[in-house]
Amino acid sequence: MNWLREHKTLTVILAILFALIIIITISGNHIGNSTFIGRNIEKISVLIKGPVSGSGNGLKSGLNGIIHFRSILNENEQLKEQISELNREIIQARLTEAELEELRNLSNILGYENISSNYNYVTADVIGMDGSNWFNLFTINAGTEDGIYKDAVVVNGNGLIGRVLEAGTNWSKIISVIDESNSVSFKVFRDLSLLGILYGDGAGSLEGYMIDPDAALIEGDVLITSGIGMYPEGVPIGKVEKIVWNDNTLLKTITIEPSAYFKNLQKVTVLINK
Amino acid sequence: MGVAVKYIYSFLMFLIAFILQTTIMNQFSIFQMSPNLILCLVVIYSFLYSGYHGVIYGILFGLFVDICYATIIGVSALSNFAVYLICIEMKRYLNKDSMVSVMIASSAGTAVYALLYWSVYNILGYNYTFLYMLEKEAVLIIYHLIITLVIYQVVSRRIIKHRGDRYIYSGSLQEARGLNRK
Repeated sequence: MNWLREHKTLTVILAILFALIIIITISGNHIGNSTFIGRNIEKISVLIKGPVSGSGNGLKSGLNGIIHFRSILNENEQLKEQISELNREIIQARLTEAELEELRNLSNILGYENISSNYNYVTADVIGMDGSNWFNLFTINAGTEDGIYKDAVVVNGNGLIGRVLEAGTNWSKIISVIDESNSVSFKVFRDLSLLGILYGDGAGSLEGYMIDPDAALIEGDVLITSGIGMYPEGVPIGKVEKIVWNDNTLLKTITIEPSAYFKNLQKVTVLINK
Repeated sequence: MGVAVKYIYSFLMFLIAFILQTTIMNQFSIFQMSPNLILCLVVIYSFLYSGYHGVIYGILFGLFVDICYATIIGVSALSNFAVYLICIEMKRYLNKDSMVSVMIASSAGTAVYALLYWSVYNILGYNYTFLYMLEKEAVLIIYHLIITLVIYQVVSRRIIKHRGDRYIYSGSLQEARGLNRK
């Protein structure tokens, strides 16, 4: 005890270090399970950050509008052309709608699953992102009261984002697919028989390998989820950037450019099992 | 300004930094990097000021960031604590009133934070490469330098030599009082 009194500063430093190491160890063993205090801190922070994040998005959009005025005008013209083209496609689509319904009925009879019939969608705003620059973890303003649960799959207009790491009443913490320690099974959109596995490459992107080493894969091929594991079939993951033959593992390894840009997410959709 | 008021003032500074860092700053990232404002404040408060503002709020808000946005709680808090210790040590050798000293403290703080953060996550099984960490830090050190210097210009109280002054003492006020008593 005398030693502690004589070395007060050192004692305090060691006590803080010890306490933090204990917190890290316990937390590392219970990833995705916050305590009562943690959940309430998150709940309060969502209330504060929701409006701030909304105004931040508005400010950025406003500034972009002023800076890129001319390009927006051009984009507007292009969009008008696209609208008229889409209108023509809608008419065509209506004609095939009845045919599609028949096929859906047939697929249900045969026991096939598809995303649209098995999932409800919850769209939410991203209200906060990890400021450490290491991970692409973010918080959305929807939680268990909207039907969201742990491990629900998260997508956006571009493709696969990740899964729900933890869900509170009015918030959910999302972990992106590039930060995942688990692997994701994929198939190639051009040839659905080509299967592979991908994972985070430890440098903020994705890499993977083909299950069949002789698979005829080409750079630029679009990859989609295969439906094996937690991710439903058919969600775009990204494009093949580079293909390398690995002599050590005797596998065709690939580098993937994710289809979603994780640093600037504003809205995401959570797939909820019916 | 009383001690309690100073602590409330610094708490508000950290709170604003926490809210901005996790909301607006991500919208204005450069090279996909957004600044760690809490880390900048820890450096400023630990290096320039006496008291425990930097360490108390560094740990507290480090825990908040981890609770809200990290898979493992405590790593940011531990890294902020290490930055505080480094700044306290550097304070003994560097002149607080020099802008260069603040730049050195900011760079060292950012490097220590990154190294510890990366090490802890790698020990716990995450596979982020050392090169990836270095690439990120090169950008972040410059980003933090700019922000720390802006905050320094706003909050610092520097000694300005008047032409009538015969000499100025560059140490802290407490030390100067101690010298007068002797």
